[in-house]
Amino acid sequence: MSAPAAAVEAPRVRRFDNGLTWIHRTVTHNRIVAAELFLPGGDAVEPAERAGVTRLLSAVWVKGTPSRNALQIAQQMESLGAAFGIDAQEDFVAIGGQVIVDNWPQTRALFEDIVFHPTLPADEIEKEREALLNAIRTRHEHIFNVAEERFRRELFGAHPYGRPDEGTEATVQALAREDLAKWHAARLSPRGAVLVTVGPLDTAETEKWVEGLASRWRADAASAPTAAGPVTYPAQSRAVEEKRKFEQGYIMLGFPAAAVTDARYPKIKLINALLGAGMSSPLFTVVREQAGLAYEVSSFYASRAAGSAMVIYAGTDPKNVDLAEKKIHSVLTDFVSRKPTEDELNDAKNLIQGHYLMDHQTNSRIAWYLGWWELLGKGLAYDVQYPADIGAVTAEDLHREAQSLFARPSVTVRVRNGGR
Amino acid sequence: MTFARAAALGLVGTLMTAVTAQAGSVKRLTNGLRYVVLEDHASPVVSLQIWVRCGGVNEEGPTSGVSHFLEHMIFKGTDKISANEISKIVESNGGSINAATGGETTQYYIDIPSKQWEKAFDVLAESVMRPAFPPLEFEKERKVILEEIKRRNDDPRSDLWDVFLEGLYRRTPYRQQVIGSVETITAMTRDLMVRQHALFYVPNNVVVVVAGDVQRAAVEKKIKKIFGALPAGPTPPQPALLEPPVAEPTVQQIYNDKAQQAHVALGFVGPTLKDPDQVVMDVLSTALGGGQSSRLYQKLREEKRQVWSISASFITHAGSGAFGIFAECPPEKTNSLPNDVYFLLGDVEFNGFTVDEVERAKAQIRSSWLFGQETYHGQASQWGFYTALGAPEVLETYLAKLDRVTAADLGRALTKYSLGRPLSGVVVKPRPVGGGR
Repeated sequence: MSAPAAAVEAPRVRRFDNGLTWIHRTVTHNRIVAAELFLPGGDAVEPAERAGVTRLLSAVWVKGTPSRNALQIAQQMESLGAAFGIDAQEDFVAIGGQVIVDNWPQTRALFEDIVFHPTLPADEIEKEREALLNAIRTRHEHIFNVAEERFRRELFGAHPYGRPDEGTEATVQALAREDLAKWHAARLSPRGAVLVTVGPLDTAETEKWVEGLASRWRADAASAPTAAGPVTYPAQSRAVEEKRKFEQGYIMLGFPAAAVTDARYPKIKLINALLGAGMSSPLFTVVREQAGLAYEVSSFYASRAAGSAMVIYAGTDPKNVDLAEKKIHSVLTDFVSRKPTEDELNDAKNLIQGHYLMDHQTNSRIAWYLGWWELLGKGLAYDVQYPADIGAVTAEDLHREAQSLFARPSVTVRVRNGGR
Repeated sequence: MTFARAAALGLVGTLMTAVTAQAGSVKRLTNGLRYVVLEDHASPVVSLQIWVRCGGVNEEGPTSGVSHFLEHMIFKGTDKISANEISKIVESNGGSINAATGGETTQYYIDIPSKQWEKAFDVLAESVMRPAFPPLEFEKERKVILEEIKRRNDDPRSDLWDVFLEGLYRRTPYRQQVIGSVETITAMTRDLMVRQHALFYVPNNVVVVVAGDVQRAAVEKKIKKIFGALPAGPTPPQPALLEPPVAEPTVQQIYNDKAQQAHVALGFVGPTLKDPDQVVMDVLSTALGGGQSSRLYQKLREEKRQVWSISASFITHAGSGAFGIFAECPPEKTNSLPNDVYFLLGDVEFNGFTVDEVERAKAQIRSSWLFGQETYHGQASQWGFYTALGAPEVLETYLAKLDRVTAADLGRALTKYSLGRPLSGVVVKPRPVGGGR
């Protein structure tokens, strides 16, 4: 299966002296422009006492500039039919969206004003603080969030990955406007920043705009942290329980796993695909199809920069939590006991490569992948290399990695009925 | 699935469609099966979809939930192919297979790299039209659906959605829960399911859509070969779907143990899919609650700081649609919220929207429409939905109608459908300490 980017024109890349990288891909089969500015460092570089500052800043960032108030920004963006926003993640902040090409010139002027000149009005901070506090409180309306929050706390411990992304009520309450202003200055550095444009644009004209933007965007002498330190995982396996008033019970268990930049990344992606992706996976087959224990059963391996986890979860009747856990362990035992056949391995490779291909249909997803790989240090060419790396994994590689992965100390969270 | 599904369809209602740029058109086999082929080679992938006009409205009493249960059983094997083979063939070739049941339709799809489209199409058609409903699998899946009901019950928004629809729809079956209840699913029999399939999964009640990197002639040949030999069935019965306005609107208060905040839904019954006012309602909902510059957002979130979030949407049905306003707020602010919304709507009726507000709403809808065309799955879903409900012409006319909507239209439609009455609705909130029903 060919890599998605292989069949299209190579992207234009410029690396500016201030540290900004610009990537542009021309796409002419539609009239949509996608633009995404990636800034290194997200929730995971926040000091513990200011946890949540990235999320609050993201909400207030678009609420005023010297020449526009919040309402004017919203009115102008919506008049252009533009869908732009700020996405704060653990390892980066992405600012961008999409617009019809006819409205791109006005949108990019508005985009530049918002990104570089936020006024962070005090009354807007209070409104967004209230909304963020509510988001923190309502996370626990969903059983998955209850399980996942506890799982992260147990597995990642004091590392920022162990904290809720939104911070806590106490840290968010304590954030001052000055904290947001400092955080904006720290995050908005051209060093390591990646700007991606994708769409039916004149490359030379777009490049001229980016040159102007880069010339106005000075790198600050002070360097802000842009990456979290390494994770220290638990030395021994642990199991914990949460008691909540849900009709369902929940089991979530996971193992320390390599960061996205690690050479083991493609192997663990394949392990995840073989184990829990899709309706033909052993987890789905054993826990749902054969035992009828769960509606929701799956696995995931998040792409994080400083370390990650291979996680398996299932929602089940509270009285079946232990049985579901037993079934999951039986699947894992079987999984590590034998090398996958060539057919099984090829099926998993096809699944990942096919889904990757299908996820490149929109300009915004193309922009996302190009910028994301570049930001993580893998380089934009990894958009083509990733499917090839998946294709190169052997059954022996995968078996060895699975044996090592599932021998590590695990964390198990059981959510049972009762309590809060 | 009901809430998400309905919300998604509401969105589709505003995204609209007109894949006119795609030059799609509905063709019909002699047995009544309708199909659409959208050939495009921008990406080497394809979306294969089968839509059946069968959903929650086609059930009553003990059959409540049978369409959704049936949807789960479709991928459990046929006489020719086992359940495991179905998913394996799709996933081992890099594809995704899934399905969704709504109030009026059931959608089955495979999205897959285009090289594998023929193999995948065979699997999809065989699974949907000739399921074996193995008894053992039936019993296992019953347990899975009972778990799905528990999972749904754990979300306070399920209460919100169910009671909201029950309040709006007093006569028509839009009030019913697509997933059924613990009681009906526990008592469901395989015979009921077989009867539902025989009644509704007939060629004259089915739409096939193929969008993506395929050759139109080859796809049409395949459709004719696979579906052409199937006999047409009697036209499946459809219930009356026109709902009168709510005579005495009320706002119900519900306590939910899982809720950490108040969830509010308020609304009124609106026009049908084929009514010229459908597009007007899309613009009205966007101008009222479609973005951060909208009336509801500005007045109730930004000025009064009464809610944390608020939005509005129009949910398209073949019969009477639903206009809904959805908010999240502190429980103590729910007492005045219905009245505040009512007075805001009154102001809109009396003073109208500005031209800028209307043009802004139209620009948002136009862009969303274009963004929705970017994936083959999105294109096929829009064609499947509107064709299954008998209104593919909407796809051709929507944008032109959108251009003609004026501020006066919004005021007229608001008066016509809300009748100037308070809104019907529900508030779901945390149980107060030491009390509450």
